[in-house]
Amino acid sequence: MKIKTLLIDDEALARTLVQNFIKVDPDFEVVGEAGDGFEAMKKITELQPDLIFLDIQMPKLTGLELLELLPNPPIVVFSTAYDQYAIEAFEKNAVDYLLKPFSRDRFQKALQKVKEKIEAKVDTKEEIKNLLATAPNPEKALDRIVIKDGAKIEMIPFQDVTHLETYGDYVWIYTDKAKFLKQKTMKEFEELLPSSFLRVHRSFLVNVAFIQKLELYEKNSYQLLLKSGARVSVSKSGYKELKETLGW
Amino acid sequence: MQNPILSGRKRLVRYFTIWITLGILFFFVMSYFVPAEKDFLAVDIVMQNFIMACLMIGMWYPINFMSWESQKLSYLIFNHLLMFMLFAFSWISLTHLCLRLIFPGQKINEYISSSVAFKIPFCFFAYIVFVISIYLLKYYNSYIEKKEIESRLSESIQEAELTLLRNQMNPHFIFNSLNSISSLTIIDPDKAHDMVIKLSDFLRYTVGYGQMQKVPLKKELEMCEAYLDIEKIRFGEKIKVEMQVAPEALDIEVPSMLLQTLFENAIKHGIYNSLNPESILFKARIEENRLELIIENTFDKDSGNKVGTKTGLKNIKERLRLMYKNLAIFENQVIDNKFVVWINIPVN
Repeated sequence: MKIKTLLIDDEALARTLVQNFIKVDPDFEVVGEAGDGFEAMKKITELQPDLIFLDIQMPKLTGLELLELLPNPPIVVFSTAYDQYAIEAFEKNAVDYLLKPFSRDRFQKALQKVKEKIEAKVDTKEEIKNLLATAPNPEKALDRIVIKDGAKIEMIPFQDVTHLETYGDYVWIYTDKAKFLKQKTMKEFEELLPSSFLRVHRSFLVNVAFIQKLELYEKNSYQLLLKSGARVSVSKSGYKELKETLGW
Repeated sequence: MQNPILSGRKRLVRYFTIWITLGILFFFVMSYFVPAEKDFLAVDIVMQNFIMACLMIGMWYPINFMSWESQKLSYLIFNHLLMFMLFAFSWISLTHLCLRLIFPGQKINEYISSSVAFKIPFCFFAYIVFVISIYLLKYYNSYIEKKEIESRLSESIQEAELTLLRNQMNPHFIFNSLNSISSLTIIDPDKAHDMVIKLSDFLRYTVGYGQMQKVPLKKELEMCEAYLDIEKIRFGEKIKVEMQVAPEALDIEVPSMLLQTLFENAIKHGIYNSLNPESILFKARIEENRLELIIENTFDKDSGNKVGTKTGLKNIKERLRLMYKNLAIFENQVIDNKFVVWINIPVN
């Protein structure tokens, strides 16, 4: 069986080069190409490739954001022109990458490694998870949270998020108009989001820009009323932090 | 501004220590020259030094505002004379009042009338020393402040130069271009050759003219065209560029790499983040002896991106300010799905 390969790069010439290099190896079959993150998402779901060549910098979704949205990622060979931090993460996690421009030899070696991985039945899911944990968070650089909502991809700028609430292994992300579920821990969100987000409760992270007022709920217990109309419980330590940060 | 004498307990203690030392010195000198009773002399010196010390603390406030920079010399001298008379009068009368209160009787009047002859020159001398020290301190402080501003300025210039250098050698652009060339060598060697030449032109400019502060618009545009041509090869139909340059503007000097940075911004935020073709419009013309440059680019409003961190634009603004003082105008704004940068600089 041939290894189904998808090429993802926003430059047609870069994809052509990989097409050209890969066609000499009969074990691989290019099943498609994608020029941006959305298209890539669609084609991955549609074509179920075994291998993707993935550019990091692309319109819509970056390569790393794309991987975060894939429940069962294929084997990945990254290609990048210059991305110091991401490269450090690749090295650390033994994920293969090609530095543009690359030689035919180097490309062959990458293909060889892919074959070895398939033979050894490497758990790509685990590999990608580790990579994303060490890679510089792409969302942080772009100040947005990316969510896959069925077939749709939603991008929520940080400043539109009113608050977040834990929900088992997931977190609800609330905006003025809607709410979204994402598999990530509250702690990860706390690290990701800027300091304008306060952890007012074990289960709540609140964007201070949306705070309307603090209300006494019961004796000794407080609630925040947000501009969106939502109400959020405040713990004792959260109350203290609110007071300190906002100078109430 | 705070009174330097009152700006710390340590300083206040030091200030009064000087007066006490002076007092002891006076006592020995005066008791040698003035045939007066020792207790009169001692109390007089204690009182006069204490009163003068207090008066001077208060006098700092008006004297601090009497400076040769803000006042005419004649006014300044007049003000100081007035100030001195006020100071001498209050000092002598307060000291004498105290002496009379402490030693009631006839004898004290004799002592007072004999000591006035010393007191007037002494307080004149003290006034001058005090004023000179205030002015010296002021001068020293402004000198330190000026040095600090200078060093901050040179720091920001250095930073601007560094960013400029980094922008010139945009590694992303260079390596991606080399990758495109490597691809073209296989599928279209002629085009590859073309692109190598364009990239060389661009690099030659950045290491050559890019190091200069100003270049003619013509040169800068040649390099920008090489740059845009390379991006067109990389992204094909996605980039549409239109240039409207008035011929008389071509020889006007502009800051080097200025337009390149702006085109690069336009490509980065317009093209890189969009799926659809986006267009860039450049206009240059002369109006009222000033050069007007406009760069507009369309962008995808739904790309979920902010319009960059704006450090590039901030650097340009800073550079224009350093080069043209306040004579350069730099504006940028988003109009619908267009990002517009507007620059207006004096011709020469």
